[in-house]
Formats: sequence, structure tokens, C-alpha cells
Amino acid sequence: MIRARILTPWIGTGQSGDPYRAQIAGDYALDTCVDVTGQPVVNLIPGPNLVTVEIKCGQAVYDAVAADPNYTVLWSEPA
Amino acid sequence: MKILIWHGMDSALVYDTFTGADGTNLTSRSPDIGPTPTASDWTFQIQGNKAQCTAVGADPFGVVKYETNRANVAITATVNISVAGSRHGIAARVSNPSNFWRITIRTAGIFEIMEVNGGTQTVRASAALTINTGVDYALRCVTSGATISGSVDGGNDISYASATHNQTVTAHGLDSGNANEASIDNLRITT
Repeated sequence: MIRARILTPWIGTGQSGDPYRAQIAGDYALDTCVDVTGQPVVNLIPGPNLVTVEIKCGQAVYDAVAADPNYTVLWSEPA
Repeated sequence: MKILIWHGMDSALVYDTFTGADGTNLTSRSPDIGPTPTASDWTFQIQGNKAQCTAVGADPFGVVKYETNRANVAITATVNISVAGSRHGIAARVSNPSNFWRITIRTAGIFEIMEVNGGTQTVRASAALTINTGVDYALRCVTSGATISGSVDGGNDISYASATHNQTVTAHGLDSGNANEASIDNLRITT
């Protein structure tokens, strides 16, 4: 299991059925995904469209995230 | 003269087993412990001695809230989803149906802490887990200052540490994303 902080875009509209959410949570099978930036709702979606999330996932998933140009790994460590 | 000194582990502010006749509106009776709840304009009734949303209203979300006079509480409830679809679970720090926190599960296989702020929804924390229809899941939420934490069946822990929206609001309760999809039982709110 890997814990990592990742830069990811927001997606969604904030409306019922389509909440604002981290794009990475839908793209990869993560165990957990937590917004650690706390960007206020009034500022969503920010420009540039980036939010820092802390994720937990398996090694294979982490390797795929790290290789994905849509995301930037800030740091990672064994969970 | 005898003096009793009691060191309590916690105090139940609300305890609701939703015992009553089918079709009874939750807002028309008192729970086992605590005040009579109020609700958004969605209809919440007792069905099979559990709480169930039975009709959707015009408000953006279906919420039942109990006034506890405490912003920092632990909330537990048993959620059973019968129809795959929307989110169902606990509502925390509810001021109105457009401003509160949702701590919910979905059969899509996800447990979420979601901020509802002026009607806008934002997923602040999530965990992946299997959620099957017809199965009881024990949800727990703790509100402590700017941190809201949640768990399902004692695990799948998630926590959001910037929960400043409605931080001092003291009403908490139930959340249902659609009618006739889920039942909620044994709501307990403690200090």
C-alpha cells in the first residue's frame, strides 16, 4: 500500500448528481482520496485547475498514476 | 448524605430506533431520546420500524435534522440500500437543505464526506468499498472542530481537516438522496 500526495484537476459542476470531485478518484481504483488543500467552494473550479489530494492505493495503481501525465506526484511513501 | 459521582463515557443526545406504525412521519413524533426532528420538504416516514425517505420534494436534498446544541458530536446509524442509485447516510451540521455535510454510501462502491455549501456539492474525502443492496452498513461520523471523520463497519476511515463550513452548527441527522431506495435505523448522536 502506498500513500501519496498528488496534484489532480477538479471535475464536475457542483450540482446534484455531478459534485465537484478530484478527477483522479474516478480514473483510478484508489482506496482513499482526501482533499488536503481545503479550497473554498466559492473558488471552485480554480485557475489553474489543480487540487492536492492524499491518496492510498496499491503499488500497481500508484505506478500507473505516477506514469500518467494528467497527474503530478508530490511525494509518496509506504502506507 | 450520600453523593453519587458518575463518570459517563458519553451522553446520548439523540437516539431514534424509528419504532412506530408504518407511514408515520418522522417529524410528527419524538425519538427514544432527544427532540422531535425537522426535515426538508422531502417526506421521511417510518417503514418496518426504520426511517425511509418516501417522497422527494423541491428542496435540493432530503435531510432530517435533530437539534442537539452541540457542534462536536459522534453520529452513528445503520444504512441499508435496497435500490442502487443515490447516496444515503448521515447528515452533520445541518442548517438547511442547502448547507450541511453528507457522510454517505452508494452502491457504486463508495463512501464519501461531501460538503453542501449554498447547494453546491463537493466531495472532500472518499473511500472505495463494496456496498451491496440489502445489507446493513454501520456508518459513523465524528465532528470535531474543523475535522469531520467517517467510517463504515469500523473501517474504511476517511477524514477531512478543513471542514470550516457550518462548523458551529448543532443540528445533525439523516440524509437520503432519493425516495424509496434505502432505510436508516438506530440513529444515535452522542457527545
